[in-house]
Amino acid sequence: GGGSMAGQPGQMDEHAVMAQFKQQLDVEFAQEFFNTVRDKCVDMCITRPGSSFTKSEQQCLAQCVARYQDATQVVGKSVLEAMGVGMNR
Amino acid sequence: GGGMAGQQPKVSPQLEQFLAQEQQKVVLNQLIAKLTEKCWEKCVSYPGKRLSSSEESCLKYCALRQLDATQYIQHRLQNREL
Repeated sequence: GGGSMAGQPGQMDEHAVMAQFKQQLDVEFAQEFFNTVRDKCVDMCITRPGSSFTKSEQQCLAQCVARYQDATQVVGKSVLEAMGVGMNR
Repeated sequence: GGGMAGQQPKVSPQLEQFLAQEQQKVVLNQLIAKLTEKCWEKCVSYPGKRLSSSEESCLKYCALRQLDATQYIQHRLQNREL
């Protein structure tokens, strides 16, 4: 469902606005992440492109995506700690 | 000077704060994404079943040193030492 106008004219449903805004940001971020991971993992795993993916290439791609997600967590944690956003405060 | 037309929807302080916070998160996430891209190149040569501890250390230090370098260079530029 979409946002609704609550009550008087000129008012907006702020919860709907917030939810929609957040969702849009999440979608954009996911899209960028996908593009980056795809490019990195193709570079890493597909060195001699054949007529189709070999089993080892498929495995490499799958592991690459998972490891890239892990790497994002490691970097993210370091950055947040460096900025004083404590996890253990 | 101009005044509010009175037809514009009022944005609550809560919504303003929410938008500002989300904006900050976007900037932060973009920084993390950029650092991960760079440090992946430097630290991971082939994806295994998990990240090794040396790969993890490399990623962590790579990110931190990149942040340090940004600060260092900014400071030097500000003080006209570069």
